[in-house]
Amino acid sequence: MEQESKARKLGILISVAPTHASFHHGLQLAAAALTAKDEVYLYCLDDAVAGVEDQRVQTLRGHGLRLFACAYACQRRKIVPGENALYGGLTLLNDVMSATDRFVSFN
Amino acid sequence: MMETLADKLKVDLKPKRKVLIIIDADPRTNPRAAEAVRLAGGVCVWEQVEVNIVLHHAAAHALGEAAADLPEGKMYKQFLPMVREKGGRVYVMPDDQTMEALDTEVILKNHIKEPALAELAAEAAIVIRF
Repeated sequence: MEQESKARKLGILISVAPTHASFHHGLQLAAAALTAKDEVYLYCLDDAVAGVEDQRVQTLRGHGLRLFACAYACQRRKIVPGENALYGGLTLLNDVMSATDRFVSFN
Repeated sequence: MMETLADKLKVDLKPKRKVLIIIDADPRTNPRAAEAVRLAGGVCVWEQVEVNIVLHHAAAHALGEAAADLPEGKMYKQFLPMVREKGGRVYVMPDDQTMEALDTEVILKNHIKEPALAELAAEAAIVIRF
């Protein structure tokens, strides 16, 4: 019998600042899932957009993390979107919520 | 492969994933309450998931008579009706103090008790708490 080789998809929402313990917990979950060869989609909302350039986040991105960030939250915080994440509206979050096998939030 | 007209007319019978958003943040002092409501509205509008909201304790002020005067008050006016229009429910679980700020009709129509909340959470594929 053929083995199922399709990777599981994990969606993660983080809305707290990078200094918050929950931000770190979210990243730890992402790291564990990436190690397990899952596809991981991280959406940064609200205060979490300040963490897009965080070294921990970018390291995970280097290991395959798909990184999204809320453009509205950036605009309100006068953060200029760069090239280290895909910036967009809640339609991106909707896609992550509806298309992943599991979805977890850290707020 | 090209999509045919028949494909386009097919009814999507797959049940929508249920999302429950529980808001504890006090909208009088905490902008996260408005952000949670914006998230709910911004996601439900795409109709790919079913979104329900529970305004827990002080968060129920978002449905109070003075909601428009709250910081980010326009968010509550804009996005809570949007959730309802898309078939979702906006429940309240006010504490005693918050209950005084709510219209009786709002409480009667939207109040939810702990066992029903537990049931909603158990049925939801995604629970987000702000």
